[in-house]
Amino acid sequence: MNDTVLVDRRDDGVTLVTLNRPESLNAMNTDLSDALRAALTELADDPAVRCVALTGQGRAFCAGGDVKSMRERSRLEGIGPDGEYHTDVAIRAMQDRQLETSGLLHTMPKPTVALVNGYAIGAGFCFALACDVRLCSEKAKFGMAFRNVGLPGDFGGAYFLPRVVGQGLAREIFFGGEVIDAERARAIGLANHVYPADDFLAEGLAYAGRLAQGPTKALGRMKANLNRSGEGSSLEEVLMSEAINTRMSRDDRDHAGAVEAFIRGDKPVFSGR
Amino acid sequence: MSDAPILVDTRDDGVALITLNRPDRLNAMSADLLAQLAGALTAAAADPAVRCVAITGAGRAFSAGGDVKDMAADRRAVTFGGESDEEASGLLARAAQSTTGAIYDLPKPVVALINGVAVGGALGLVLACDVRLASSRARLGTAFRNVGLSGDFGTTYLLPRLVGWGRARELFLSGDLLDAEGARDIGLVTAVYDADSFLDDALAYCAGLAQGPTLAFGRMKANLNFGEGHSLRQALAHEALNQRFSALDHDHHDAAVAFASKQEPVFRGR
Repeated sequence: MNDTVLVDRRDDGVTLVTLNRPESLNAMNTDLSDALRAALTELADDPAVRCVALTGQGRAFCAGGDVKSMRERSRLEGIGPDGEYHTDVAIRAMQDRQLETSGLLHTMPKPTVALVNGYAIGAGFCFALACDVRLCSEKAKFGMAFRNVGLPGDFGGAYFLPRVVGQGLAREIFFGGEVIDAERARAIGLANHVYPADDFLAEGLAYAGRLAQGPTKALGRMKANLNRSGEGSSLEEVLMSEAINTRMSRDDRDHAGAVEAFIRGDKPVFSGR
Repeated sequence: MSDAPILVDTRDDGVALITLNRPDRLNAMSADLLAQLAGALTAAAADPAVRCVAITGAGRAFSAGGDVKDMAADRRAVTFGGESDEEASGLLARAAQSTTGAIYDLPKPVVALINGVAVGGALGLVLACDVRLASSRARLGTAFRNVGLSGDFGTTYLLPRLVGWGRARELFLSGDLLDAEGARDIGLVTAVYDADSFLDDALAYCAGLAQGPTLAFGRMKANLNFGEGHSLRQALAHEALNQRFSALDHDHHDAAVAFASKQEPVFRGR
């Protein structure tokens, strides 16, 4: 395994995933992309992990795809068993890469939090959008910079951005490639909260720690319901999805314990079971 | 005052005011309350004298959502009974469909008059309404995580569509409660009125809607709901059909005549 992604499993149930190529603004090369996929796949299935926080080392969150190696990576990914390049092989490899990064951040059955410490550009912006909650340092800067390199965009940006900020703003942000600072991000609903840069990691981890103390299974099912809703299911279909998930939560220890606590007038304590 | 869990007042101005009426339990949504609410919505939809529906709560709450006391007494109460997965989820889905679903599809304006707390399943009823008006005492939240539940009554369908996915996911995961101003800031409610004059102010707003072209309003709702899950091409066809229907309405004809003679249109809901 390489050291382009650091994984810190904390005692409070939060696992902090740090993109670690600070000299390249944590731009995604093959090593970083592979390490991130491996880390997220493992954390998604581990019940001891009750919240995943994603951040970047140094002054960037993630500068997106590494432009220097972009052409070469795309060529290598498309080489089939016959040693020749095939476009459909390249496309399938790309799809897997996106599903195991953006896709997992969005669908894993536990809260995911982007701790946006600095630049979140291109695919880096998309990783932040894929998370459930975006917490920003006042130094955070978002840019949908694909147009600057003549690309339409990937890693779910076209799916996530209109859902977060609305279709009108999303189109402008894609076409303009403008840089969005933390204050504007908060104003348009892109950032959930903005914290001073000095305390940022501590504040962000405290927030993630509170989510990690929630009823993790129910929170995972909320995400499943919300994702069904976002994928275009009708109200009637979502009502059924909600009902099935509520039926499942009925048997959870966390639900039973919380009902008892409610009747006593106490705060519930959740174990994630 | 009646002790029925749902009160209906069909007013002369065309507004049917539906009041959730279990004030001693913060209007918590018992099976009985929901069944009567479903009946009241069906009746309001069918009655041509009703041209706007307003929903509010008796006492200091709009509604606290599911009845946690009932859940403590019987763990099956959270799905309104049922043992098997199919039976239990079917009961809950039908309760939600006949209330949240009925409000969302009702072919007339439906306005939530949020007089106090509206959390959990009650948030779903509020979100299904076309317009949300809040008293300065209103408090809104998902609250499901507080009792280890994932959410029902259409909240996961409706909330993201109103406030965006980023804010919606946070409101579900954190369980944060919003006050009236906070709810207005993110577009969750459209207006906040002083608590002392809330019911009068909100009913005056509803009376205005009740004087509108009711049939066209119903078709606007149908178009907006249809647009959620269909392509632009399909939505255009749906709009065209509804526009064609409205061209045959008295209200459209009379309004066109009034417009040509530079007079204010008077709509009769026909």
